[in-house]
Amino acid sequence: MSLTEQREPPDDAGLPPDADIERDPRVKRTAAEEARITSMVSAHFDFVWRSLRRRGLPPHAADDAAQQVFLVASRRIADIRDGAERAFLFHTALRVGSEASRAFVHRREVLNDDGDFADVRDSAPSPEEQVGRTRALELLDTVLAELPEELRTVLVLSEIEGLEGKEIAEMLSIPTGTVASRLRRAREDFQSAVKRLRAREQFQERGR
Amino acid sequence: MTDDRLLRDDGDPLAQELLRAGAEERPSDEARARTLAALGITGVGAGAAAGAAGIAATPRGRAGLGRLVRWIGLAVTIAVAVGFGWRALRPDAPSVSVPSAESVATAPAATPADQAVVASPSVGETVALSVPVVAPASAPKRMPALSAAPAASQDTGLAAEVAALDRARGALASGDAPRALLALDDYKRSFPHGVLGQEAAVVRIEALVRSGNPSAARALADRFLAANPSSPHAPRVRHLVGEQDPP
Repeated sequence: MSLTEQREPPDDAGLPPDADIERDPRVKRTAAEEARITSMVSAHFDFVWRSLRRRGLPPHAADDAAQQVFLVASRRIADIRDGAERAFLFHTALRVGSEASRAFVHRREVLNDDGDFADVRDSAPSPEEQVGRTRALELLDTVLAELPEELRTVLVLSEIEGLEGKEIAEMLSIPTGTVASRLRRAREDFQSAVKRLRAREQFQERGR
Repeated sequence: MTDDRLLRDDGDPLAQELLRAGAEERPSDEARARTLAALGITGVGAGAAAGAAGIAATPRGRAGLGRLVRWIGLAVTIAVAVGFGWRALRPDAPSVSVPSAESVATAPAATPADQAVVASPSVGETVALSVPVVAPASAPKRMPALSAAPAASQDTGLAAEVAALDRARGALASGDAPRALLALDDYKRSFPHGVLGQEAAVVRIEALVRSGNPSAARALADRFLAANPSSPHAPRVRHLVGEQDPP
């Protein structure tokens, strides 16, 4: 599947995510819509945020981009079919994430890398754990960056988000067989990339 | 998940830890609260959503991180015990690095040009091939703990491959590009599908440049860049063939 295909909203979601971008999210919203949006935030904020992180955005940029995703969803709430919320959010996150990534690349040189990860707040991990976490996430993104996008997408949805093949197929509007074959290749590629990561480090160590 | 078992449950230990770290990552409560505020949602609904955030943020298994820390510690121990990496440290050796592109390294078109190389490099002593190996812009730190993989048999193969490519790099560092090319041929014969294919390709491009064969270097560089346009080594390759400033 092409990137364009992935970034299209689900067929039943209606217009493109930014079709009515000017509308104030708080205008003309019914109580039911507000409750639905609140529910979407509650149920899917973590998923959206992680999806943005795995597209290479640092935490603070993922915060902003996630907010943008939900603002778009709020504007489009009437167009989003019941049950299609997560798919809509995911496709919107792909688009918003791509734009944010481009902006981030331009600003990256002035950012403090440690600061980028400083606001990954959780259940107050120990300093040792925080070092391990930050490093693991860096390595994860390094490895994921080696995978073609269509493989990276299914791998993240399966291995990180825990979605079933059928759910992934529905979200991406592709056959379950395609999901299975992509997952198989994605896992092979991921393992190979991890292997390369080690080998390069060994190579690097010997050169020091 | 589909038919296969999840990598994070049944894969390479490092792959498992990385994937678990990704699954356990959570946004901050503040980020969620700011989003709700931007949406104009306050009151009970926002409280419920924020509460869910708090709940979601807490349970993340520290066990996974603990395992990672312990694994890294174990890896370091193994590295020291086995002498992996350290025993072969050479103060004069440059640090080379490139990501995956064995398709380029093994491309048949490279062979004739490579074999035609004879001339010694006009360049001197030190070949500076320092490229930030694996790290993209967001991951500048080195990763010494990864030098030792958990599977001993795999490490043995990787160590041999690293050593083979290291011979080529060493020859290049000493200014002997033709010998580096021969060493690369040996590497290619021994590891036709090695994991350091991209690294080998970059060393070969460097060796071709140093040995006065820029057209062969350019041809290989073009294939490398075509096959790996987003490789972290792409800037280095472009620099080697004069397309851009040093990365």
